[in-house]
Amino acid sequence: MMARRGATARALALAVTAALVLVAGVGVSPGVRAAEPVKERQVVYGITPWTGKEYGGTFAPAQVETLYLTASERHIVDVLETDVYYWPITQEYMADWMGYRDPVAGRLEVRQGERVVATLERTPYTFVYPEGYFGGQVELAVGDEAQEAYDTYRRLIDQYYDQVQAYREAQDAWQQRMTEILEEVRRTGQPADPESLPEPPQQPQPPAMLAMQPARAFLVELPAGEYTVRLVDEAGQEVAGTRKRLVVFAPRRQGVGYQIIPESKWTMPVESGDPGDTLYVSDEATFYLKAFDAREVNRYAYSRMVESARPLAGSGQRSAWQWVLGQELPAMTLQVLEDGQVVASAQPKPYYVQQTPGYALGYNIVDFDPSKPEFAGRRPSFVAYKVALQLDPGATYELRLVDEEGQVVASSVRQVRAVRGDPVWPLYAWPAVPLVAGLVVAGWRRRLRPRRPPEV
Amino acid sequence: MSAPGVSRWHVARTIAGRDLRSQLFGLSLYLAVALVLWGVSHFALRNALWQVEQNGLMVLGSPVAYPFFLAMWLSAIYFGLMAAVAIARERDNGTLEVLFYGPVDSLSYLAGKFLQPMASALVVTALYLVTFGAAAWFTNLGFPRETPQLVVLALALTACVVALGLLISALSRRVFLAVLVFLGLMLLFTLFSVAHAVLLAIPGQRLTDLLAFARTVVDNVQQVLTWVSPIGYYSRGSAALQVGDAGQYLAALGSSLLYAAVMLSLAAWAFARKGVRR
Repeated sequence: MMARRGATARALALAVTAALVLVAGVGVSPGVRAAEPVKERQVVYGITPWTGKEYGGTFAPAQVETLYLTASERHIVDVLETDVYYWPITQEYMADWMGYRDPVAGRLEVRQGERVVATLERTPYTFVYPEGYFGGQVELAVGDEAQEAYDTYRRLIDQYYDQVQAYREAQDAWQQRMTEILEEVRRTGQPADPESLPEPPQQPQPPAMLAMQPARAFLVELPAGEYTVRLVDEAGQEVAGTRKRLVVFAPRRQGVGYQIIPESKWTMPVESGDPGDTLYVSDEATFYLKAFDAREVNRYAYSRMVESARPLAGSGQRSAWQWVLGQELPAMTLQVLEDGQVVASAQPKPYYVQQTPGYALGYNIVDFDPSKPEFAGRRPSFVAYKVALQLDPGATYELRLVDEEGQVVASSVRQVRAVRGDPVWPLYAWPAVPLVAGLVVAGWRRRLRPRRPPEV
Repeated sequence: MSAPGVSRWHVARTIAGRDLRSQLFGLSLYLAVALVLWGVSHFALRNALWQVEQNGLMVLGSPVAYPFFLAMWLSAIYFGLMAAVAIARERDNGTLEVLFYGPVDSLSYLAGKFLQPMASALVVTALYLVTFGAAAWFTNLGFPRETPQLVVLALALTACVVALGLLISALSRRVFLAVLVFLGLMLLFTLFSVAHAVLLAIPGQRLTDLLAFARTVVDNVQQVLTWVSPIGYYSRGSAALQVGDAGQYLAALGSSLLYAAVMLSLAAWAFARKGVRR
């Protein structure tokens, strides 16, 4: 019995050891290490396209023969040499910008057929964020303005550092004065006169504006059409590997798009770009609207523009169109109409999403008032038009934006319909109408038919 | 050529009138319409309502426009099938030959066989408008603003399908073969259209190599099918209505009618070649 137990224990120990050796072996074997991608040095197009909302970032490796850009908008394009590899996990080409990045010298020549449409030199540019990086707005500054914007930003930062330095010194002085007053109170036992207490220094606010260090690239802005782009050197000769086809596409439609934030699901907004869209509601009486400049673009062309390095981007979508929400529209008045009469209007206001206390999930959306102490140091969760409706089943409303002159903004009109889904039986009853009609007609026809005389 | 003193139009009207009476006084048409409406109400309208109820708030184009198209498409298939059976059955039964001893020629016969389903389609469209209107009013899903233009487009779609059915019927000597070919084509058009829509809806990030390949193939084939399948003409017309392009709408409508005319001409040619005998 004991011998059998010993043998079992030995076998178990052997199995555990073998398993550990196997795991250790697998751990150091080259098979489980991350596969090193094969890099290839290529001349690529670095593309920073304007998407209508922001500047994107992609690149076109040598494998990509056609570039896509939107018409009549300024895009940033550069021709660089870098190491390119394919990353199968995300199914896209990657550029090792940190490892090697060298702009290829020359001018960018844009041709349409045999005609040279433009010859572009590299121009300094920078991105300016007037309300900060997360503020939502981005501006492109080019030429001297780029350097000026950056200098302004540096000056503001320097001023801020000076203010911080001055604040620290003032804080130290205030602290020292307060210590002296406390010492005095302690020594004399007499409370200090509140009037004599010094005001604490105010902490300086960092500048909201942000400007990046200027860089140089080609600024491409073309009307819709098909072009050829290539880099030419000083002698006017084409630089090898730089010729690409360029498709500049225009939106099919433009208008006002909305982002609709339901009160009960504020993290799951829905979008409406098409003016023919209708907002169907069942129990969502309150929602918030953000208005945007919207464009309907070809899905294939748009995907190729923003994801040039993904070979599968836009595949099989040449016949499809999509609405893209661009920049937020300036503040206007949102009107709610019922039977053609304005029943409510709203201005955009900041709102704050307040978590309900306790462990249970939940929140309230409240007006954001920066003067209230509970909002000190906080930012609003979003700024939007609030719409609160009386949701009688079957009610129909209309929403529209009105500008400062009182003009209705074209394509901003949307219908809101409160659906009536209960009871559901009429949906099944109406189709019986044709059947009843058929029975009536067939019955009537039968009565008209001549009767056979009775057989004798 | 028709007999002296009897115009082709009169003959066509007589054939169409006789068949129309027979269809309108029977129950099968109304039963088919009711079944289509029940199916569409359950799978499309009820589903749209359910989705709105589940989400609380939804943005949709027009939840009635697609069910209306679906109903019109199914009816077009029904009338097309009747047309596909028409010539082949009468030829198969031998009644066609007898008919042609009278003042009937191939053109007036085909015109009659085309006019009858079109007249039935008008009746069915009127029934649809009443029932869909009632459902849209009751649920407050609303009727699309472009309903009159969509109705015209849907009737043109029916014309295309019926003309295609007549062509298949004229080419076939057996009813079974005509039905098989016609239903096979309709199934192909429908499935391809559905597959195209489903593949297009897959988000880019979830696309595998295989799906991307399938989507590219389907999209390319769809480009060709939009000129072969009657659905393609309807889709172009409704897309033009959506973007408010009257010129494109009229072009889609015109090309749809041209498609029907070409199919009818081919049917007349095939009918003349095959003859009226079994």
